[in-house]
Amino acid sequence: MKEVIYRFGVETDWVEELAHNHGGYVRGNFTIAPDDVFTGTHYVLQINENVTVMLIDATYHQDVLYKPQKSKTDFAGIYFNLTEGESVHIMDDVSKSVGRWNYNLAIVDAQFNTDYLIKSGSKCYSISLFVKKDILRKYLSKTGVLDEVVNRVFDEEQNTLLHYDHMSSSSWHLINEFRKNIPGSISFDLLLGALVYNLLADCLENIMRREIMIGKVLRSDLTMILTSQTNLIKNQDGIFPGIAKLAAEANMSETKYKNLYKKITGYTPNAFFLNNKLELARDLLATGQYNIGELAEKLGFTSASHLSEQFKSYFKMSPKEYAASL
Amino acid sequence: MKKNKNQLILPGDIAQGCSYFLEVIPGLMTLIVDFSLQRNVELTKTVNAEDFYIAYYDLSEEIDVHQVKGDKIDYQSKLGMVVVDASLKSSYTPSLKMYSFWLLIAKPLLQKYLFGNIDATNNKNNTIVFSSHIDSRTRLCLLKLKMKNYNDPSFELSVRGTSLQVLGYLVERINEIGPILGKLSELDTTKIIKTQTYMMEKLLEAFPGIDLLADMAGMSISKYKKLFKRIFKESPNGFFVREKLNLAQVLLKSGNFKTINEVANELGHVKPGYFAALYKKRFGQLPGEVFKKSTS
Repeated sequence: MKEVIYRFGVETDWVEELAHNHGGYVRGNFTIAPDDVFTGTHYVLQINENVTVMLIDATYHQDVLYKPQKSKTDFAGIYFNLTEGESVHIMDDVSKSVGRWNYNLAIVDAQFNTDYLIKSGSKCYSISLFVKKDILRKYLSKTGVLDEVVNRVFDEEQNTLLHYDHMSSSSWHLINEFRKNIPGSISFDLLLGALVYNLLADCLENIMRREIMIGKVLRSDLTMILTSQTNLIKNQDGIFPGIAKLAAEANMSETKYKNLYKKITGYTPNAFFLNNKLELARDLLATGQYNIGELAEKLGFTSASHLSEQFKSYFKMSPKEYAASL
Repeated sequence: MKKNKNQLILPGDIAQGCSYFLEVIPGLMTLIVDFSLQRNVELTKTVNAEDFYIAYYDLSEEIDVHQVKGDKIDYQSKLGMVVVDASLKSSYTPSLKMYSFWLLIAKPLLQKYLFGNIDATNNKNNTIVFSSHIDSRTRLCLLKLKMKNYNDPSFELSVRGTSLQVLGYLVERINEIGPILGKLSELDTTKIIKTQTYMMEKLLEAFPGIDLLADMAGMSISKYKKLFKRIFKESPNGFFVREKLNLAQVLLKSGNFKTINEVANELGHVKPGYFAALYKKRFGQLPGEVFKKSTS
């Protein structure tokens, strides 16, 4: 297993260092790594004085453990991850896997970087935005969120900017459309810049639409919650195990577990469990192999109409409509 | 805006109808004209016309077919996308309807994204005049922007994203066709474009003929043909046939005709077989494969 020390930032002084730590070098905007580490595209572009983007479209040929080092703290990372399969693992301090990366969108404070492992054979595709907190704060203020709230969110004593989620379907479509472009082609930087602004606009719209929970989190607590969540996902065909059982497994009081869970994931455990089921239902529907009744049974819903109802309230369209639009 | 020789003078009604203005990156400005919005924005920038290209996108239907009294079909066909050296701006008088999207692009910025003949693009005398239908990728992202609310805090980000995306697509297209080599006089350009517009209005008829078009432009036939090709990279006849077929596609799908022969007749094709062959060559499908029969 290869260990790579990393740090990020809006200023791109880290790129050379990161390339070197991979055993590779920088050519223009590209980072080239030795072929036995990863092959593919690793591209960094500073969009303006407040935003830098890192695009990774690569296949890993050995396990690589990324360990953070101290970086600037004036920015947050917004990570869009379209990696196929669950190949990114969050590690604890002794490099023990505590959970898989089950989200494809994360907003993470620069102060809160975790160790993570990318498994050999993984095909990674990710768009990472590094955005100055000042500008994020400015945009958030414009959303009509009260200044008081915004200031509280950005109070470093009290909070760590942290949010995990499923990316919106519009973000997913933006990235998917962008993937058709060839890195290094004449219009590539313009279209990458366009993608960055469009993704930021989309994030902002989503933040406006619902509450996003941001708060201070201890690393050990994050580990516990991620472990708990991994267990929930393993169990996604069954019925909800109940807060009491989950809290006991995480060694926390029910209140602490519930609050922390919501703080980190933005959802209650129950809502997460249900949403995850519904996301799965959608994926299974898309395969065309199940009707709604079969799905309801497979995923532990009480009836087909119960599934339809929940599906509609989550995706704003009924499973039937969804299947028809495929 | 004040009239000053060195300033970019936008047609008065654009400056007046400007609903949104933003400098996206140094050298790239975006302007939106939206008549559904009772809101005018002062243009805060004045720029030197010599230093800019204008790219203009009109999102209203490019080919609009409607049936007037009786059997007569009326239509309007126009090119929704125009890119022109700002110093040649008077060559085009865009129809200002509903909604249009404008990019002002500093020449050095655009030149950064043009490759191929380096000598040619560095030459100050070369220019770009480009008019076309809006490609579907560009149309899609402009329509997406159009649906957003100006008052959303995310709107500014969306405009930045859309502008860069549209510029990216434009760069790709210009690289495909290449710049126009050699200097163009504003007067000649205006005349050539006038004949192009004339052809767009006469698509239901037979090709007007080079004699008539050259005469319209006040040029010799050989000069006219040469200049038209230099600007549009195809012959007047080639342009005419292509646009005719674009219109044919719309008519075929319109559901206003009982038979394909009727469509062919409408477009002045006497031999249906020839029409079908031309159509297939352009779209890869026979007219019969897309035809929607009139039900009335």
